[in-house]
Amino acid sequence: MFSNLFTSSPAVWTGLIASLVALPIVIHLINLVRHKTIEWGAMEFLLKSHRKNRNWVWLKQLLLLLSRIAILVLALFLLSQVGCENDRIAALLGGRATHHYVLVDDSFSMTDRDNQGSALDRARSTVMQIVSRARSRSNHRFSLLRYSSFGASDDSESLIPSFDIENEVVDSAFVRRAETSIIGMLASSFPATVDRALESVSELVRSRNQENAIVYVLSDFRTKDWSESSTTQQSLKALSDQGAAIEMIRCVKTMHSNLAITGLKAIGNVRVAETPLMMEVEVRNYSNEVAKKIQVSVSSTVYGRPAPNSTEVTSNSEELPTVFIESIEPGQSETRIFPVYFGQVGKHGITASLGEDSVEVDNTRHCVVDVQPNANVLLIDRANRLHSEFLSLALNPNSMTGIGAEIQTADFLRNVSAEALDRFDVICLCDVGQVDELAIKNLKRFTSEGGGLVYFAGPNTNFGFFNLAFYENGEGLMPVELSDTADVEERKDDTPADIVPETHPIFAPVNNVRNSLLDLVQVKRVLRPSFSWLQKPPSQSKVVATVRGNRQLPLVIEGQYGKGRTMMFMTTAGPLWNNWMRNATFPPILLLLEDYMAAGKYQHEVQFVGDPVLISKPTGSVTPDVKSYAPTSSTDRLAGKVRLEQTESGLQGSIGSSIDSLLNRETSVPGVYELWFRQMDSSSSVDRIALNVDCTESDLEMIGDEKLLQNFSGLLPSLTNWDQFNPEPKQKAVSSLNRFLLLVLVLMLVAEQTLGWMCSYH
Amino acid sequence: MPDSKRYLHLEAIKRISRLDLRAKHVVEGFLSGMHRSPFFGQSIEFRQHREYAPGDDLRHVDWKVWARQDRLTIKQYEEDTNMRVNLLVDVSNSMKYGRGIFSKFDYAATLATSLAWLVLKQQDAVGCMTFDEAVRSRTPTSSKKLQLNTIIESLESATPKRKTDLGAIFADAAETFPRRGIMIVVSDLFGDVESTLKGLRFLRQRGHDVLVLHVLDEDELEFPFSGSSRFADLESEVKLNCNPKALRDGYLEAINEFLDEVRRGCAKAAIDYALVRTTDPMDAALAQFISRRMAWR
Repeated sequence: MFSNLFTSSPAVWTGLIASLVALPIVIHLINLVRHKTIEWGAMEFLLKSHRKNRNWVWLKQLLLLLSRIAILVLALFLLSQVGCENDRIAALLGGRATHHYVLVDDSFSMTDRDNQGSALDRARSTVMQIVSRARSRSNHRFSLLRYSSFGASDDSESLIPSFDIENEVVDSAFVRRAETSIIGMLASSFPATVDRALESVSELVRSRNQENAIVYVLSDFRTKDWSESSTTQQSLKALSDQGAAIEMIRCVKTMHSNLAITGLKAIGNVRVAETPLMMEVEVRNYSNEVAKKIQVSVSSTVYGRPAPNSTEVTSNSEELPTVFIESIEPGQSETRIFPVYFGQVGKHGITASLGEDSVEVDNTRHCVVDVQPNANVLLIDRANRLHSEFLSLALNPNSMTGIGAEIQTADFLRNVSAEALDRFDVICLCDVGQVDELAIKNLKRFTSEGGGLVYFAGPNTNFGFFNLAFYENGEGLMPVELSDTADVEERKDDTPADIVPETHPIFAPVNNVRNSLLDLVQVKRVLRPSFSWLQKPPSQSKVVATVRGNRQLPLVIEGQYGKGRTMMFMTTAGPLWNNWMRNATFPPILLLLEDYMAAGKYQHEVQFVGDPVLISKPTGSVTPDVKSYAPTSSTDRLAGKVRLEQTESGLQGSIGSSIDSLLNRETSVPGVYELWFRQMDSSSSVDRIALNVDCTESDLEMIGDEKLLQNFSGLLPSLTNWDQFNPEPKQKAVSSLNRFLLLVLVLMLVAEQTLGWMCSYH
Repeated sequence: MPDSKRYLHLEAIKRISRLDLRAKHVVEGFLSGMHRSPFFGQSIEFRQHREYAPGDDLRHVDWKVWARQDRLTIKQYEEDTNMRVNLLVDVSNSMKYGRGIFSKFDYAATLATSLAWLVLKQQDAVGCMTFDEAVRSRTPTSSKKLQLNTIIESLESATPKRKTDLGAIFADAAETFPRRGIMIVVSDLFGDVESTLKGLRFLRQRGHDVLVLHVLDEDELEFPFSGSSRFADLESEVKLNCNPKALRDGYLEAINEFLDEVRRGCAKAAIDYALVRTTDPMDAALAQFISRRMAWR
């Protein structure tokens, strides 16, 4: 502070010190001029005394003068020291205002609650104390900035801080206004950090160099935010260099236990009405103790179709059986799978909730599942449908699986448009020989967009064409290079099973099962990979099943092409080279295969609150005006409007991506958002998107004072708990200097009086 | 020693403007405390006997008569006018100083007039000389009644103006008053000490009985000043700006050294010396000086 006064108004200080040095000298000179004249007879003796004592008298007078100058300068320094505590004096000295910058951590970890209230409650109360502190003085200004007043994920430098209270003079009217603002201050759902807020305040302090700045940081000081941050360190250093006083106020004393639902997603990829869908919920224990007997409440919400010219849809929520977790180790996660059932097509919601704990907002997680009428599988076969019939039957036995299999010949792939293939989840090629180049192109587009592609071998497989068009030296659709066919010796009673599966999702029914029905399958012939492939298969190729025999020829090989998965069966789907289709394991494994292969089309994307929601529709499918509705517990839904832009890839738009919408937090509430589209036939359609909190904020581990001091060595000026915050100016390190200066001043006064007495000037 | 309350207050004397009346009061006050004349010279002759009365000085009892007649008688003497008293009064500028009731000059003039009155009252002759760096007036020695007026006139006409040169003055006085007598010097003696003492010794060598009344102001002895001051010398153009308290010790040391030197010089030359402060009651000062002189005799 002392240096602050010096550096901020050096001219004032120079003037003050010069005046104080000149003052005793001027008074001394005036006293010399203002003498009384005495006509004196005994001058001889006076002159004699004068001659004798002249030097000593001069020396004493000089010392007296110097001591008086020193006393005045010391008093000024002492006053300045007081000034940093007593801003009124500082203001008087420098004519400077004092600006209180209050930074409030409003990330959702500040909702950490115990019996005495939440951390944010304490922050609010402390802010009011700061306001009172400022109110008791004159010439004080106040600014309040929350961490979340910046885009959580936007690194744009053009984003400016949005102060709740900005640069207002503290008076009685202000106190009333501030009280309203502070009471209305709620926690956000963002993992906001102090970096940007400190940086902004540092910029402001630098630009307002005529003010004394006090920066208060009210936070819970979690390890994840404060363990290492060069930006924070730089901002603190900049503030310190600018003479700002920094007070860090800790609003939480101890770490509380906290559980959070960190994941909720559909793991089944056959999302069909009236068909069970498997969901996975993940719960993480952010405590230092083992969490036991955790109950996760699950509910599903089925939305009806929107009525024409209405913005309302019917919804039906249903509580599902509670998911139990026996225990979760500290810092660990547990996942549980549970089934849900939707009776109708549409985008429906699943919500999982935990019981009450210290932080509430991470106890609930939402998920939206797009339920289709069917899961479509395209089966490409020869005209005799020797293989596809078996597959079709296995995929939808008794029409209960929701999978619709369409059988076509290879020509279909050539004639169909690329977009028309998008309605299929998986394409199975059965004993396909040479196909058209356009067909290969369509397959590549389909697979790269996430579709699953399965190739069943057969006598018509053209090795040369396959290797050229499907393998492409490891860059193509299929993961294996073929050389020829190989016959499998007929199985004898004492020989092991023909199909040896690896541990893989599609073989889940037979994995780790001894004497499974799969052992009964007989394979007569398989395709054999090339010698070079066998020597060094490509890294993305994975053998998931082999054929009995010394050479362990691969039977099922998995690959990846773009977003889609590919699978190569080295034997036929039909009964030509094996009898698997007659085995009871064939339908379930095939269903799992379809589910597994469709995963590329149903990749689970987690979207957090605060993230922009991107909207993309094919051109001409809907009108450009879209209404968005944020989730709310009340009946009045918050509506926003978005206009889609025409681009090369269709109609595009977003909510929550512009700076204004970021500041207004259009996507700030966790829950299910609705986007209402008007289709060309004037009917409405609804998209639903689930936004959840980022659980990095759920980690309540607190950084200790020592660690903070270590991280910000030399920069951390003051760290107190909220209940130790003193509304009155604190006696900081400066006070020791005050005491020292006071002691020196007293000594100087004693010396001055002694000298004055010796010089007869006292 | 007479009680100080018996003396006239200086304020009262100051209120009397005429110097002769002032002197009369002083002398009357002084004589009321004395039993005999202070100036018993060599020329006193026996006049008669009278019956002893209580209070008479036992030294004047005629013991031979007592031995013969067994009664106490006092010898009484006829005084003559042979005693010549000369007053040497300093009227230099330094005598002008005085912040109290009297300046040193006023005090010295009153004292000198009182002595002249006393001497004339005893029918002795008295003369007066005023001086600074030179002799300013001479009043020859005489025992006439009008002599007092002459002396007063010379004192009243004197205005302190110049410096002092005591050595030369005393030599001059020796020439002015060639007949042996009593020389009473009333001065602050500021000047060259050696020269002053030399002059006094010269007077002594000429056979004069020399008395020095050293008149000094209380301020000159105590130096009570404070605050930034400018001291302007009364006898020269010298000025000194100083803080008096800072110089006080040195000043007192210097003036005491001066007084000691004067005292020693006077004692060596068998000169009666008395330091008189202008704050002392005049009759008391006179009485103190005379009684001390009588005791010394």
